[in-house]
Amino acid sequence: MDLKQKQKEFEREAVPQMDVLYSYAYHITNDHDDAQDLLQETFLKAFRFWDKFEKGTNLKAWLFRIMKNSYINRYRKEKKEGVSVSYDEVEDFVETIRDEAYHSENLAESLSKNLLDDEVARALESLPDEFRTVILLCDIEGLPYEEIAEFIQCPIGTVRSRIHRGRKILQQKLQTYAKKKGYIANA
Amino acid sequence: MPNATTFTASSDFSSCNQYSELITAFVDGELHTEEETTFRSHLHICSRCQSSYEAEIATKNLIHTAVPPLKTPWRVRADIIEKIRIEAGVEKQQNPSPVFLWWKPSLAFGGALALFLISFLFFFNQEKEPPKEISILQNVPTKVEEKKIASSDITSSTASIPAVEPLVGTSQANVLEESMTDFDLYLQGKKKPKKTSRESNELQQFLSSRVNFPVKLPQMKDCELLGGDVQEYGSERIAKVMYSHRGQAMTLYQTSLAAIDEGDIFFLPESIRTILKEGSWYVDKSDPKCCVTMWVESGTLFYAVSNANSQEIMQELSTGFQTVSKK
Ligand SMILES: [Zn+2]
Repeated sequence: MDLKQKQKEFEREAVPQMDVLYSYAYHITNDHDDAQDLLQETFLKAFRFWDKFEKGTNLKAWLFRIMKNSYINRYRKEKKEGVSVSYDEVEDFVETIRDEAYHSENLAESLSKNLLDDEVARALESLPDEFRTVILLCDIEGLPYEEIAEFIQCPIGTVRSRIHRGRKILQQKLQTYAKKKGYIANA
Repeated sequence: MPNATTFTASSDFSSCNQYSELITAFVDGELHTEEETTFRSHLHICSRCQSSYEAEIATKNLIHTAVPPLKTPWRVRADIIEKIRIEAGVEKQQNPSPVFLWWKPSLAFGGALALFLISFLFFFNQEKEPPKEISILQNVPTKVEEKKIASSDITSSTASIPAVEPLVGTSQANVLEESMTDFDLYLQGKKKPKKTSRESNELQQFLSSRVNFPVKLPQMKDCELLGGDVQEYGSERIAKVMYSHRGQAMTLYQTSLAAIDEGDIFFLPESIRTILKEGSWYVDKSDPKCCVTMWVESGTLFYAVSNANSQEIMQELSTGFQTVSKK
């Protein structure tokens, strides 16, 4: 394929996926400039490796993977080790909180009434990557499990399970915020 | 499906754990019909799963509202497309930078720049469909009596167009960026447009004689005319009209649409071109403190750049349009 043809094809197919990738980039970096750099790096890489993309497979997932790798290369190095909680730790934790105490009747209502968007964003930010990624893709970008599974290269069951656990942790965090603010009486 | 949980309908709480992930899939609309039927029947008889379900859906909604999905800022998109085109050899790097590229926010703004494109309902092309998206302009009179400029008039006058200052600058020079930086200077009177005039007819003549597309100067309620300028980018020209809007600056740029369609100086993504040609506009108000509005009318592409509030400018332009159309 000659370059111009490649560029045309790329603009027709990959460029329309830009919004969801930008949104994701912003939500993982929390910074417009970083999101912009990450998006640019992703698209330039994708363009260079366009020949490597297997036609008929999920393009969005392919682009996401490029972005994720770029993100890891770019930012993980800078991050201090051991800041985030390991997946196993969280998993154990979730098991203990699962289905306990989070069933106060008006939990849903009081959470949405009393929490600021900022607090929700902060809680989401503090989630370990494994959970944050699937929650971002599912609840913010509205992707189906199948696409998320392709992106994180896991079975659909794993996606579901991570979303489930991620939401449980979030619920707990949010409820803690709400309690601190005195809106919800301690159970 | 790998890892799928097997389950049976039951009101026994001990079986609830096997439903907990199904709640998640149910919230996300990811259950198969069969699973869903069984799950719903459990939900009916189990208060515990019912409240888990409510809490989970609330959490999902909370996240979605608090952290909404974002659209790629327009300049970011344009920037990436340009880089890809350069890499593909479709665009040459040493060209004067396309007008929409390299549009980095200046210090005066400090934030992301917004871009919105407005339809041209107020202008004289009556055959066009009414704009799709905007409500603000709905009461604009549909009867428009502007005089139509024949395209032959325009081309015949091309030969006698006076020379203008070419835009001399680096490859990153950009008319929009420049205007951002210049806003304060213009407002303070420290920098003056080539033609300083508060007379719209006079300014229109000045600008029209220097470009080969119809130039318009809409009258707007709260916009005071400061003057105008014509600049040359490669083989193309841009007319610019400066206004002061309640102490803020607005620049109304005008370019021939053909220059964007055929030339290689200005660049506009296909998706936006399509919108403009349909007579619609594109709205992207990522920063409420500044805006760019864009619309096409009779072969001229208009874009207004301002550090005033988008909403205000949109209102303002709509009054300008009405005034012009009532004439
Ligand atoms: Zn149950």
